[in-house]
Amino acid sequence: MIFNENYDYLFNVLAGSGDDVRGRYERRRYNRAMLALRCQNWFQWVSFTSATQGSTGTAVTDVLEKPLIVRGGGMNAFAPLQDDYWSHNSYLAAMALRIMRSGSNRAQINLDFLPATHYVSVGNGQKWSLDWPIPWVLFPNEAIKVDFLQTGNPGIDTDVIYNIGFYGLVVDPNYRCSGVLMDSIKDQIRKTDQFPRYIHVKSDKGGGTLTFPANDDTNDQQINANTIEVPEHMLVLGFRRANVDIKNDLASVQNNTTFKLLVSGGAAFSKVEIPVNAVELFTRPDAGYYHFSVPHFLPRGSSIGLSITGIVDSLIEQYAGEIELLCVSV
Amino acid sequence: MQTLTAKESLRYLIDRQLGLARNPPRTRRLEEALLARRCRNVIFGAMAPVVYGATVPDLVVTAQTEPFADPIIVTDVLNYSEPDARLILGIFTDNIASLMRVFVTGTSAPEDLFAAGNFTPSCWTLGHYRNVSEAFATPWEAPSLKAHFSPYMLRPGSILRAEWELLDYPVNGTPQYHGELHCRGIRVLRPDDPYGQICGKLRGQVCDYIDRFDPETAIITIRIPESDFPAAGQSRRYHTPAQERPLLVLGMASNIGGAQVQMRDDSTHTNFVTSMRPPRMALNGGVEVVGTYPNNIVGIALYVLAANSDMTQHEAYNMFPVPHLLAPNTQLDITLTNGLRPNGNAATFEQSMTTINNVGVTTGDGFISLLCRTV
Repeated sequence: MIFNENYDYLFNVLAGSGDDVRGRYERRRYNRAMLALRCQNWFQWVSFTSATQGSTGTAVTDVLEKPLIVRGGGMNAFAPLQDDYWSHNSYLAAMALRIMRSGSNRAQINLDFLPATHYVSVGNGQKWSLDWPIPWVLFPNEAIKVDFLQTGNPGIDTDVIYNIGFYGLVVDPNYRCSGVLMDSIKDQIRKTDQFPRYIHVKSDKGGGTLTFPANDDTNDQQINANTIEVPEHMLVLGFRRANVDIKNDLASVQNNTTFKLLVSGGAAFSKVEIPVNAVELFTRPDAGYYHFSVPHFLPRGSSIGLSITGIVDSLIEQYAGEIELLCVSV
Repeated sequence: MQTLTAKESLRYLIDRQLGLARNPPRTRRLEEALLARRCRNVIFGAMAPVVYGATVPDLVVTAQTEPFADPIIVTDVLNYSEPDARLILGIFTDNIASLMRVFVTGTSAPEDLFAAGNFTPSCWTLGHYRNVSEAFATPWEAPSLKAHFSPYMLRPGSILRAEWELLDYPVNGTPQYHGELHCRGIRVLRPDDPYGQICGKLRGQVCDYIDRFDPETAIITIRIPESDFPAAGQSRRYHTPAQERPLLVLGMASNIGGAQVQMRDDSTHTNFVTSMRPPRMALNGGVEVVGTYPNNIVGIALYVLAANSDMTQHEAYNMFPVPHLLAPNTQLDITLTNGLRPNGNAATFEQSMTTINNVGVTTGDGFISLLCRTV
């Protein structure tokens, strides 16, 4: 069941209950739009290539010029259509992490190497469940440093790429706050009810999917893709993928497709391309997509662009990749 | 108890950066600490006679918890033995081996907890996510807990009784059947109980922290090298490192399997785990015989407190029914006992302590992590 302001409104209209139902519904929609207008979802990432048991490494995220509220992190989520779903895990050696923020004397979450699952959500079919109880604030020019310690035996594979994504948001009180935009948002809220939309990202060439030029597992390929230009102001709640980066760990190449989302005429979601399996959620019936930390505001007439880079290992990956955005009108 | 959620915390941080100067309300943070002090997590269970030997169709075994002198708000009820239920993504991929009923007994007639009127597959009523993915010959535990759909008041003197109906057991070569009922709940201390109050030095520490600092996420850990695991059947005591901030312990995780656990906060004389009473009898080919059980059945399966995050499908941490307030410079004592699933016909356990993930690959040293936030 979906219980939100839209449900409340529709229920109250049908049930004939509640005072000022429409007014309350419109205020909640407006508040959510204002939140989305002033926040920008943002992703940081690091990666490490495993070797033998006991191998170590360190990686540091990019620094930002704005404070970043980090809500949580995830590691190596992978797509649900992978054929050897369970045996996949056999070859993922256990990894311990030490995650610290630089540049301040504030308290850390922990000072030790911990099993990865105790710090971040791990994508072995696991729900993206580890939002930290209290989000972290990363001040300008601070970075997150991740130390890796491979604690498990690597099994057959010794060169698995471990991608860790941190998800959060940046806030700007003055971001996209023109009076004209506010007026048009109010106008849309006043005249319409909300409606849901799935918006697909389609590559410039192809039949409505993410289509790569070739099935070539030795060279990186890069494509650009776009959504439609949305006819109304929309809120993007999250996204999910299928058939993108679906290689298994027995393949000759590893899962390391990267992507970057950006809004036409607007901000991006990350500084550089980030690994899809670092920030994306395994699709499950009860949580079928990755939820952004806050809804992303997509103005009327804008589209979301996507650049995606990776090695293509099968015809499915070449022709059938999908990334779809789950949206609701403002 | 509704604590400050991650979503609310995010909103406070956003509002602060928007210049709205909103902070998590101090009174609410203090109330959360007070509530945590008033409540205690209670972990308890019941162990049924072990079943082994020749297959007997539709055999029924029962187990019952010990009564409490105080009322307990039961929040989670979990069935331990589901040897053939491979729940992957909420879908059975194999046979159902057993059915289950849970009754409440006490001053009135027995009450069917789920009002199902009959045995039901326990994974549907008790919310298993998963036991093992393969290799049933080694019964690894690690289902996630799922909060029961509505808390239940277990009155003083009442008990929970579980019944398992084994369907043509054994169906897949598991050597023995171990019916265990695991429960989690909350005990609320009386208003005049000094251990339920925040007073004296602790009051100063809590209020001072709330006044001066924002709430923060913290994970406190115990690292146990595999060489430091207790020997089979033996116990060893560990403790969390002392820390200087008043913490609300929200949940636990561990990569250790095959261990029983007891946990204690000495500063408040709180035992989290009420040990189960071991059975005396066993069933051999459907015939009741005197059981031969190991001596060291002293705690409860570790994952009832701490999710094995390398095993579970769903939550990385098991969240406690109620946060536990850990005062500055105090510690939690955790005793691990090597061994789960006592043999009914030998003084040994079927499963021993190890770090292992869901397909049998070691995950190195053992860790117990406590997910916390400062008050």
